[in-house]
Amino acid sequence: MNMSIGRRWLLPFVLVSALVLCVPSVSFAGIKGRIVEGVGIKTAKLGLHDSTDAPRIGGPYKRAKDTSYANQTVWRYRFGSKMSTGKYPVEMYSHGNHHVFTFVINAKALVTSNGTHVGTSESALTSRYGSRIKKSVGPVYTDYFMGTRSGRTDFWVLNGVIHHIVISRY
Amino acid sequence: MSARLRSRQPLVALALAFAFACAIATLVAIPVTASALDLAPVPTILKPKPSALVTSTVKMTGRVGPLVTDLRVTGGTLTTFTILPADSEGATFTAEVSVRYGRTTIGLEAWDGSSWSEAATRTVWDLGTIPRDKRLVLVDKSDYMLYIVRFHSVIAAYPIAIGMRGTPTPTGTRYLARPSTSPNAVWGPFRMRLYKKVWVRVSYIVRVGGRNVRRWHRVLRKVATSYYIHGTNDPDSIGTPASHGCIRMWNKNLRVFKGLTYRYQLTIIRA
Repeated sequence: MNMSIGRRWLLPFVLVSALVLCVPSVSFAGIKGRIVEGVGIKTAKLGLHDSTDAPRIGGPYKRAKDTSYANQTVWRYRFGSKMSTGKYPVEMYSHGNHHVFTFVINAKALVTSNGTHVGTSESALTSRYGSRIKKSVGPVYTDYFMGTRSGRTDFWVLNGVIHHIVISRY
Repeated sequence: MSARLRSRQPLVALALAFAFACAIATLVAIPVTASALDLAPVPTILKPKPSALVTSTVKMTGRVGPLVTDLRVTGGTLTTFTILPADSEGATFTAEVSVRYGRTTIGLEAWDGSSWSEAATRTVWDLGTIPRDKRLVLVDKSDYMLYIVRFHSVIAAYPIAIGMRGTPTPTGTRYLARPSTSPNAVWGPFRMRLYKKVWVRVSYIVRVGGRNVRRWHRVLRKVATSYYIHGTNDPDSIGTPASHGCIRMWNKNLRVFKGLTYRYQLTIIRA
């Protein structure tokens, strides 16, 4: 009798356990990867359709529409789960025509080809990029930027470390 | 009698200790006061007025002590200076100091032949060329700042967030509405809509030859735009291009800003 009850609950137990173990690993695994300066994240690129880019970034995401901008629509995608800072690991913005124009990276797990990521020190950033980046000091952040109108990367530095990275186009 | 004296011994000891401490403090303080007196008198700056708007060069005037022969500045570059002949109370000086864009605090020190004085400071703002209106709000997208200008002085300056590169904040002349309750926590406690003036065709009816005739003319009207100055639920975004075209401020600054502005105040947004 006891054995039959045990067998009856065995399959649901295994399934629930697998789900509990897999969901966080999938959600965190989806937002690791490479930042390509001025282009995008992993294989997601600026200018592509958001339905193409969203699966390329990976992980679960939430989509919201903002119509308050001059009667135009802006789509906002938030990837992963909210971090302790209150931010999402990756945000993506697209116009009403669904063409992506901005990626915002708040997670340390996304790294550029030379190892720069959120949390890297200002001195390491300047030594790695040298004369390729320019500096602009603002009232709160210091902006180190590179690239052109069609693909620009901004490293926003606060208190000597990179606070977030933005890849955008005009 | 001797018993009463013995009972007062602690009080006497305390009084003696206090007197001793005062004597020591006086001895220590005398050299400090003397060295302070050795310094040249601090210059008095008469112009420009505090928080004045300037354009790359500041013309300063003021008074210095009668023995002063030289001036030096910190925070800017002293290009020229003149000290007029001194009378018994001091001399008048004029100086030209070049400053950089934004906020500059100029420190002015005087040399009387033996020592430099302490610095007299004056904060000025170089915001480029702006209209000579008495009161306006100036939004400078290049340095993520909003300035409230009144009678050619900057009375407040706040960091802001502007539109992202795909959804930029439009530039030009706008007019600021009074605050309306924010329908969403995203916009902070309230938001203030920006209006712009546009020419609008309006019709009117006139009676001509017994018939009603519709005629048109153009009037300049303030028309609401979809852009606001509002607060935020994301304080980290201030100082970056983060919005969809609106101007964000920290909520605490927005509450003060509301009290410093009035209905349809001229607002200039520039790149």
